[in-house]
Amino acid sequence: MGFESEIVQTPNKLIDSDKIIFPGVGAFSNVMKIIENNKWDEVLKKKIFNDKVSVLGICLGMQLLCRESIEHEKKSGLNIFDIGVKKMSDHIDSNKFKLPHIGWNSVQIKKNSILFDGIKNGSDFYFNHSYGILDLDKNVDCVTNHEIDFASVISYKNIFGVQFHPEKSLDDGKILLKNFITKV
Amino acid sequence: MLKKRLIPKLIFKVKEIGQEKYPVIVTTKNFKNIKFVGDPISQAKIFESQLTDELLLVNMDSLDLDNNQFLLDYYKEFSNKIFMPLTIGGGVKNIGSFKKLLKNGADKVCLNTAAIENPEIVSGASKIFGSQCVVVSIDFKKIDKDYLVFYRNGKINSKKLLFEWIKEVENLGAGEILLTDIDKDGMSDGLNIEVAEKVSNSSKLPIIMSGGCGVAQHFVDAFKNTKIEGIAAGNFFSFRDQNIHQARSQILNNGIELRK
Repeated sequence: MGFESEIVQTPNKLIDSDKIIFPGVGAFSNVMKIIENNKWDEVLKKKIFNDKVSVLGICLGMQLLCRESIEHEKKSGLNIFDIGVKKMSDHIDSNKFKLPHIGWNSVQIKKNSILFDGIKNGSDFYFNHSYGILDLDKNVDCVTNHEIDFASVISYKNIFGVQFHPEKSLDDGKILLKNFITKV
Repeated sequence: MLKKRLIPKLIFKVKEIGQEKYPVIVTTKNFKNIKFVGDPISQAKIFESQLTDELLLVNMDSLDLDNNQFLLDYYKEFSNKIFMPLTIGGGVKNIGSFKKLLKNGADKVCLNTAAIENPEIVSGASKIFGSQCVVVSIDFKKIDKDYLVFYRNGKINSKKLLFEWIKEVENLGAGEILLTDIDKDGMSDGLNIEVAEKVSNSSKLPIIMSGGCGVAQHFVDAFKNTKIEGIAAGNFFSFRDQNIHQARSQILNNGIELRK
């Protein structure tokens, strides 16, 4: 896409970055353990709270920014957002709505977001997850429906979380990423 | 709402010409009669531009991933050039296989024989990586009155009943199930609607059906009469006489939601 980026293997390398994209494929508690063991959490929190660096959490990355999640055990996240992540199958009739939620689904904009500059309301993005944010009263910019509404985009100032994968969502995904890099 | 998915199935073999290795897409009939049809990356670029939803890339040789930097590098190259959700399969044999594939471009990993020979790989991978990246592929054939599960590229009869194996796979923690009717593979006379309907109604997992798509109407029939989430097709997408835009229009005109 024409922007300088680096895949970071150790927390020290985060120190000089302007913006952080926090992607995620994996299981919440497993990844949190790895994060804590390697002190990623300390560096990330410092960058966010002290240096005011912009962060975009994708899928599991978004969930890790939250307060906690219940996967195989209840596990605390980085607590940047005071929001809990829940197992969707506990709240959805899985005889009618299959889980994991895999495929293309529409994102409804509830609050205008700089990430969606140039993207139509109701555009489809690619999702692949079994857990989600079901409490919609705080920090929620966009929702998506799979029997119930869940948060597809959350934000607070320059910290963003998206449940879908913009890097797999073709043109609209590219626009969103460009907006994060150039406009936030 | 969640849209239905059209998934080109790219089955490939690695051809060796002198010192050079080339991955080449193949099509099959009942898992035999192999025909070489083209380069995976150039084909995938066409699918990307024609709005198909995901790609399924499967190595038919089931090459060992442990000492195969060539194959892993190829997957990495593929995922760097194609921006579609990618499921990679073939040769998966343990948790290490998952790690290697996810690191080299896979969004989801597909396993078939390994699930039968070592079912704990399914539960293990689901716990470590999340069920959303574990796709269990199941090949089946009707023998007398029963649907039976075959593995090792359809060569060995596991003696497992299809519907029982599906329940087992669900309990092991798989995220998605890919079903292929071996007798319908490459025959272009439609998907197995009976199995698709029964499984999609009883399973809690998303079901992808495969085997037999010849014309757009086959997709319509399957989506209208069953609750499957997606259809994976090999021959339909590989042979240029079927136009993807036309197929999408026909599916949409029949009231089936596809992505915009």
